[in-house]
Parts: sequence; C-alpha cells; structure tokens
Amino acid sequence: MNRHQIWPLPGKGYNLWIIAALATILLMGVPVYTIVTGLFKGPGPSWPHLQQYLLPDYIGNSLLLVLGTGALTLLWGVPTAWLVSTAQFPGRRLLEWLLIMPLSIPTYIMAFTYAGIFDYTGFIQTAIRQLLGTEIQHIDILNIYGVMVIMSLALYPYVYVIARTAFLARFRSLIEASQTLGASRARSFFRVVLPVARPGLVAGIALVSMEVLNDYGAVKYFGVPTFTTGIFRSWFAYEDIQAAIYLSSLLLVAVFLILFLEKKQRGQERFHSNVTVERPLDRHKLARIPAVLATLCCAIPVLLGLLIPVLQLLLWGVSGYESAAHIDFINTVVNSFLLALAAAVSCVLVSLLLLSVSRMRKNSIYHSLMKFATMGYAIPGAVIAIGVLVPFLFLDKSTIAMVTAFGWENPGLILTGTVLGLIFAFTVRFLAVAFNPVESGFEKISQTVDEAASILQASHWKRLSQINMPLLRGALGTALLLVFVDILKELPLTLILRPFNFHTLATRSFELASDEQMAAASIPSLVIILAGIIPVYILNILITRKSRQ
Amino acid sequence: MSLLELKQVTKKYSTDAVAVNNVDLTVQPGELLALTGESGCGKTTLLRLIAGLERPDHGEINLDNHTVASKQVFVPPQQRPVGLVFQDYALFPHMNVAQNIKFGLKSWSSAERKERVTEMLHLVNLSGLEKRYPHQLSGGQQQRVAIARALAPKPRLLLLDEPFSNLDTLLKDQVREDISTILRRAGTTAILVTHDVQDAMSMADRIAVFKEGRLLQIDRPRILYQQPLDTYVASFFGRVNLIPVVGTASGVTSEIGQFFLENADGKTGFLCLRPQQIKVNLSRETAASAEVISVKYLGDYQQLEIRSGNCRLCCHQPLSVSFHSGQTIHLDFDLEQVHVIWVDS
Repeated sequence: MNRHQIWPLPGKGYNLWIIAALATILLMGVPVYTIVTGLFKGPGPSWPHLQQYLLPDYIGNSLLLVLGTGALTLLWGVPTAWLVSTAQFPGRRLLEWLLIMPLSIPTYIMAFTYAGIFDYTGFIQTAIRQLLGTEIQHIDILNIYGVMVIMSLALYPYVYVIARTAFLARFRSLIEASQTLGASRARSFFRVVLPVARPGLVAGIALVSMEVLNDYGAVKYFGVPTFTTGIFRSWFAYEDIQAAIYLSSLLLVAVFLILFLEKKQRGQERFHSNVTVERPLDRHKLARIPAVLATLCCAIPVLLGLLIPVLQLLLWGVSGYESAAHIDFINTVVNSFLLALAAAVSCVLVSLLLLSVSRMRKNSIYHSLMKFATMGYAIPGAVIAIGVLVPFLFLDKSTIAMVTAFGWENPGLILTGTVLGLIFAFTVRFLAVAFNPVESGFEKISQTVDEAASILQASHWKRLSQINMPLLRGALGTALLLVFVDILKELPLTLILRPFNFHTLATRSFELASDEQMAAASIPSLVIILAGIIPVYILNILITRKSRQ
Repeated sequence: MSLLELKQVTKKYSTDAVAVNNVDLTVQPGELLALTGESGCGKTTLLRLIAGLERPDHGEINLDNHTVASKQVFVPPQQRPVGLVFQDYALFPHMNVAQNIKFGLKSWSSAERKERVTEMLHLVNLSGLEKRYPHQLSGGQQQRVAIARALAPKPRLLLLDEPFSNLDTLLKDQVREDISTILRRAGTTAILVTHDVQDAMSMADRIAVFKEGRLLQIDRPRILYQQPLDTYVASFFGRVNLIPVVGTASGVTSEIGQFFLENADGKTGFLCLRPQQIKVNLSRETAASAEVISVKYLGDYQQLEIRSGNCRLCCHQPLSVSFHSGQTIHLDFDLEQVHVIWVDS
C-alpha cells in the first residue's frame, strides 16, 4: 500500500506544530550560521601569528591523532570482536561486555590517570625504583603518541561494538558458505568477513575520529596543540573570537570531510542495529593454548582501558575522599545532574516535536531539514560553543541596550554564560543522541495506528500524548539516559559556556587534575564513570537481546 | 440524496503514476459498496481519499451534503464523519478493548461512553472481553474490535480496507457472515475494499471494478457477472469465453455460429459465454461441433477445453457423462443469456 503523503497536507497547510518544528530546526543551525557568516568578517588580529606559528602544528597534530587513534582502535576492537563472537574460550562472556566498558571513561580522565601512573611519583616509576633499586631514564608519555594510545583505549569500543554486532548478526551464512567452499576460518575472516564488515568498521572509525577532533581535555593535559586547544587559546588567551571562528571553520571542514568520506565508502550499506538478524554463530571451541591466548588477547584492552585506570582512580579516591569536601562536592553533583537532566529533557522534547511532525507530513525536504538539525553531534563541542557565543553576546547586548533605553533596570546577561545558554548549546550538540532512539521508536509504531487515531477525531496533541508517547516509553527513557550521561562527561563546551564559578563534575575533575590534585580529581571522575556504566550496560543488553531473537 | 459523491476525483503520486483517474461515484445511504480490482488498481487510494488521509489532485468529494475535498476545501480526517477499519486493524496496543473503543468518543459523557462500549461489544459479539489487550485476542476478534472502535462514534460512513486479507480461509466465511450481520444491525453505509471477487459478490449491494486507476463499471453483482460492459470486467468475475463477433442486421455471426439479437449491423464485439452456458447436446447433431482437447476433474463438475473451428472454449459439464480428448461433441448455447460486449470502433 502506498504511504505517500502530501505537503502541506491533510489539514490547513501550516499549523502551529509545523511552524514550531521549522523554527526549532532553524535554531539548531545557529552555530553553523555563525561560523559561516564569521568567515566573511575577516580573521581577527591574532590570526597572522596563529597562522604562521601555530596552525601547521594544529593541522599536523590533529591529522596524526585522527589517523593514529583510528588505526589503534582497529587493533583493539576488531580481533577482540571476532574472538568473542565466533570462538569459545574461558572468560568469554565476561570479557564480551567488559570490552565495551572503557567507553564509560572520558578521554580526559583516561589521560590524566595515565599521566599520573607514569609520573615520577606514580606507580610505574616507583615500582621500578624499588625493584631495581636504581633511577631509570625518565619515562615521558606526555606527547602525541601517548595521547594516541590513551584515546584509542577509551574509544576503541565504538569499533568493537559495531564489529561485534556485525559478526553476531550477519556473517553466519557467509562464513558457512565460505567454509563449505574449503576456506579455513582465517581465510574466511580475511577474504569474506573483513570486506563485508568494512563499511561498518569505517563508520566506527569515523565516530572515533569525531571524538578525537572533539577532545580538548586529553590533548590539553598532554600539551599537544590541536584545533580545539587552538580555539581555547584564541578565545581565552587572545580574546580574539574571529580567530576562534576561523579555526572552528577549518575544524568543521575536517569533520564534514570525514562524514562525506564515510558516507561515500558506505554506499547503500546501512550499518545500524536494525540489520536483519540471522541465527548467531555457533561458537568454535578453542583448544587449550589458543584459548588461553584468546583470553589474553581480549583481556589486554580491558586491563589497559578499564581496570588499571579505575584501580588507580580508586586508590587516589581512598586517599583523597576528604579533599572532596573542600571542593563543595555535593553542590557540584547537584549542578551536574540538574543541568544534564534539563538538557536531556530538552533534547527529548525537541526530538518528539520534530519527529511527530515528520510522521504526519512525510516530506523529503522536511526530512533533510531534520537531519540538518541533528548534525550538531558531528560538530566538536568547542566549535558549537564558539558558534552560539557570538549570537548570544549580540542578543544580550541588544537586549540590555533596548531595556535600558526604555529606562528599565539592566537585566544582565540572559544567554551568555548562563545555564539557559548552556542548555541550548547542549541541545544543539546532543540532539542526535536523543533523536535516533526516538526515531527508531516511532518507526516501530505502525503508521496506521496514527491514522486510526486521526480518523477517531484525535488532534495532533492527543495523538502524540495518548498514542505515541505511551508506545515510545522505552525509547524516551533510553534517549533521556544516553543524553544525560553524555552531558555529564562533556568538557570543552561546558568550559567555554558555563556561568562564572559554576562547576560540573567534568570541569571539576579536569581542573583539579590540571592542578595536580589527583586525589581530589578522582572523586568526580569516579562518579562520571559510574554514571557512564549504566547506558553501556543497557546498550550491551540491547545488542545481546537482538542477536538472540 | 446520495450520502457520498465523488466527482472526477484524480490522485497522482507522480506525473506518470496516476493512482486514481477521473473517478465518478455515488453511494446511497444504507448501501454496502465494494471496491475491487487487482492490487495497484487504486482502490485503497480511493478509500484513503474518502477518509481524508490523502488529498485529491483534482475533483471533488461530497460527504453527507458537505464538500470535504475540492480545489478550495479540504476537511482533515479528524473532522469527517467516517470510520475506517484498517487492513492491519491498527488497534492501539497499549490500550485494552474498552479503551480502544472509547478513544473516539471524546465529547461524550463518561456514562454515555460506558454505555456505548457495552453496546458496541454486544454488537460485535465480544461482551466480557473489554479488559483484554489486543495481543490477547485472536485475529478475528481483533478485527471485530477494530470495527466496534470505528462504529462507536456513529460515523455516517464506514470504510473497510481489505477486511479479509489477514484471515485464513476457514475463518473467512465466518468473518464474512459476521461483518454482514454487524453492518446490517448497525444500519451503516459502508464501503469495503477487497481484491477477492467472491467477497465482493457475496457481501456488497453494488461493486465498483477498477483497473489502473479507472472505474470500469459499477453495478449490482448479478449485472456485473452477466452483463459486463468490458472484457476485463467479464474475466475479472470468473472464467469466461470471449468470442469475436461481427454484427449483422439480425444479430451477430461468429466462428461458432449465428446468434439472433437486435440489429447490430456494422458493430464488432465479443460474445461473452460463461463455461456453464455451453451445453453438450448428446442426442443430436447441432450447428456447432467441437473437438475435446482436454478434460479436467474439478470435484463438483468437469472442465472441458474444446476447439470449435479456430475458437478454443472452456465449458463445465456435469460428472454424469464421461468425455475423452479427441472426441467430437455438439454444442448448444443458452440464447436467453447471450451477452455481447461491443467494442468501440
């Protein structure tokens, strides 16, 4: 049956819902407009200096980091995914989901934890001194290669999860076909599985690259100058917003290039979780020695990416929980949670608005506009922050000028450096995180259910509140949780846009670590990691359930 | 006064995909009309146009003395006095039977609603199941809930989209019976879409046959079967022998002989003979002789493929006589029922 619908359609052309949806979409693009129009205003005063002395480093380092981290995530993610989904060895079930867990540790926490471990007073150097009784050469991991390894440890789960979903779901028949044609398991892997999995793996690496370009904390801590640190330097040190916009635009070009290449290589392939699920593979039982090797192979990323950093944080935490009192810990937690909750609700509400309108008006232009609105997830937090800062300053200044012109009291800054402005920026940045689960939730509701409600005289609001929302309960909960946790860990955007003296767990832990107060920094870090474990756990259940069905 | 009137209604999905092409149609109060045709003929789109789920590109739809769609006017589905029973029923999965039925009764008092639910459940024979959820019901029960839900707000017109397609054959006869009874008891005007000729013929007062978006013929089932205006309609309602004929002053002449009708000089067409209208004369030789090509046993009767001149025909014969291929037989035709489909020159 045809499901075509027309635009502007059944009904009175443009109603309030459509107007609200279009206005919201327009708002979500604000950072992009700022950057694009900013380019026409010319570079700021510090640009020549930046361009001559710093830009080559920014470009070189960012490129090297993207490539190096991407390659390393493949190394951690693919063999482990292949082993846990096709072979049987001791500890497989536990490792299968522990391997996802490093995703709950933000890169900046991973970075300062490892910096601490390799520090002169850190565990490694102390142990070597005590065991060998001699001073060894200074171990320096605070360089670009160190960042690369550390970011790959925090980010490889993106590749691992996609690879595992693919291996669990799609390859049974392919591998069976290849084996009946006489190919060994190894040959099947390299000749059949990897080529077929390639689009998904590249999509995973694209996600990793975005995270690398988004990162501020880890590179800053390790003293590696990249685009994000450059944006911070322009804004905070040079107070040159135009230079920040110029850097942002270059970063934006890099991000869109990655997105474009990823889309191009993928072709028609879709690698989301709704791939058709076949029966899972029967796992191949390994002999004793290969089994031990397999266990080791899967244990290494878990050890390096999860157990060691968490253990170190716990050790610091034990010695430093008293110092948590000094940093007004409770207040920070409350701030963080309320902010994350408010922004998560905002993301979910915007997703509901956009999708409920799209559902009644199937229209390809509107659909593209929605995709445009969710693009913020690809844009680094620092770029979004600069992108909303400029219009915020303009609006606030205009408002103050207008209000005082009428002789009323100066209202102060309403958007710039306020929680309201922060929530808006978070909504732009994390809309996609809420949008995707809500969208797939909507897809599970038959279109005829909505039509039935319409024919039974339900208004748009009644249909949304009484039919769609109850059916979307699970999706809305997932969306809320995912955004909540993402915001809890968010660093660069918060650092730029937060109100003066306003702290979240993320800014606290980063600032304390920057001041070498590791013990104090460990407490907020552990809270962030703990909160991050919940959605990872849910994600894992969803994948496993899907593969069992 | 007709309840529903369609004037030159056209709906295009793209410039070369015309789903509904210039359709004129009226439905009288209390009538049950079936829209039928092969899949993709536009019957479902027409139903959606009437419901307001699609908007016509051209033409006008009048419902209950109001224009609901035209160039200037478009009344959205929620403001049309129609009920629609979806092919997949589209019951709200998070609501129980009573809540589903109640959903459309928004301006009713709660006592009235309660009474209406009881009344509807009684009508569709599901009393006592009001607390069940859709997934706890059989397919047939779900369908009856869907009908009850659609009928509850007392629509002027009930639309049913392929009401028999999700049911197995054993259940189908029962459901046909049930729906007929429910509609008769409710006294509603209804339009149903079906691709199955048997469903259409057994239930509908009138049938509209569509092909490629065009309405070919609309009439009572008996007329459509016996006097189709179009060769497509003729074959749509069952096996038919279409024999080319040339008109004469006294009737028509063809490969299998002459038939006396009114003056048809200069016209051409097809003689429309159903397999059971061809009789085998065992006692004497007639003007039309034929050779048996094959015999198929079909349970209630046997089906003969025969050749008369250059004409291949199909006829149904009782089981009492046995035939074999190669045998020469003589044919009789029931002249009372001879029908010619004229071809426009």
